Amino acid sequence: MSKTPQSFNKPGRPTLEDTDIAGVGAAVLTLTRELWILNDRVQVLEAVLAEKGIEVQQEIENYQPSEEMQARLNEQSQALVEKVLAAMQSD
Amino acid sequence: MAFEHLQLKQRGRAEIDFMLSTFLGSSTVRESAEQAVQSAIEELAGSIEALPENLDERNSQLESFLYNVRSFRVQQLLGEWYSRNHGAAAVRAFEEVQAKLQIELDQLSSGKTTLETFPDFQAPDYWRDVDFHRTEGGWDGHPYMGFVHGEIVHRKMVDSLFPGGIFKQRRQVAALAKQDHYDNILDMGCSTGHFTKALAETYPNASITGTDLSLKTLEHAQRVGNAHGYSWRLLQRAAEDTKLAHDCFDLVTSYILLHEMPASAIAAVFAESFRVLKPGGEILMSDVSRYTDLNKLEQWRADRGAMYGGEPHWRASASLDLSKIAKDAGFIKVNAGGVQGAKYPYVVQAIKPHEVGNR
Repeated sequence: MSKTPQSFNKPGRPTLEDTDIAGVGAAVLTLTRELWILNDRVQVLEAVLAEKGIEVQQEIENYQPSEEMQARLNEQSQALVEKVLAAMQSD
Repeated sequence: MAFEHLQLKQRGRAEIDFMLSTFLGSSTVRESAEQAVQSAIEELAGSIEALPENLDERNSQLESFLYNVRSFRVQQLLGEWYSRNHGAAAVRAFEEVQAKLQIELDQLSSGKTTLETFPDFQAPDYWRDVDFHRTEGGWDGHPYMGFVHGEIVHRKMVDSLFPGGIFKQRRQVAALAKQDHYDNILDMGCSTGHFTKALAETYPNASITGTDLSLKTLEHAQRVGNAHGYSWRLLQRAAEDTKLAHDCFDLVTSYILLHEMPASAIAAVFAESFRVLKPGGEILMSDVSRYTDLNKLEQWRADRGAMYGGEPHWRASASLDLSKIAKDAGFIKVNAGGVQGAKYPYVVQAIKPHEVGNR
């Protein structure tokens, strides 16, 4: 079997099968729920701050988390991935 | 330099963090998939040693079992998603901060580190149009791919998964050369200059020349060199055909380069390093673990990583006996093996004899 180096660009790895589709559907819904909760919270946060006369958009853009905050974000992000993957593997 | 302590914007930072979380947050899936691998070995062969000799056959047998296990399929999905998306995520994160960085990027393109390109340069077929590491467009696939790869993929992604590891490893390998001082060092396949920097830190009085095929990685190596006040000479040339003068270096190095090349080019790299070394000069070539040092399960893991990780030459390269290639090129006192008991990186050191022909 002779492969060209360029054939490695898109190696066509098999991943999920038809039997996984229910899990994928559940994972998409789980993710959408989490995304919506977050979206709602950000809008509430911005509205509350705006009502108090505080403009935060640019500061958020350039914000650099502290070590502690970064650790908290990492933990929560990994927990989110775990939730989605657990849903994906459910029947 | 600010670019080495790059501050991303919120979206890019969170996207990169999330890419890492797909690995760090998937330990349950990976453990379950690993149990499936152990079950597959037990059921199909009884032991690792009894798995098929042929790598394709071995993979085919294991896959026939493993793709029936959902956690393995999900693990493949995660691996494929990361492979496809990590480069693009890094590019997006860079483009958010590019305007802020542009003055510094432009300033670092001039200085004591120079970059030479040549009208007759042609990238070899084994490299051209290959998306190494599944990086879309390959190493020259974005005007700032060197920056993106060196400062975001390496510093913010790989170094976050293995903190301090990749830069420390470069310094450890650089320090393996036998002398305390070198006049002229050639770093073949210098990429974005991070190993070149380890050489410069270890041998501060040496003149350093670096070559690479990728103009975009060389442009970043130039920024790294200028950011630290080094006077490197960078050339867009193939390691196996540098067109540099005979007998002019006392150390020739390459860091994790050889697995990106086919066997014929690797032999040519050793021949070229022999040609450009002064008599008595030495080579320090490091690369990925040899398949002969791995058991059949480790080989299978490495080989699948290569197959789906944009590494077309890995299998053939990792199967080569680099000691023999070094000896065939004329080197003496060939010493090869892992560093500090590890199988990775695999390092080949050898000397060009004072009297060529005396092998």
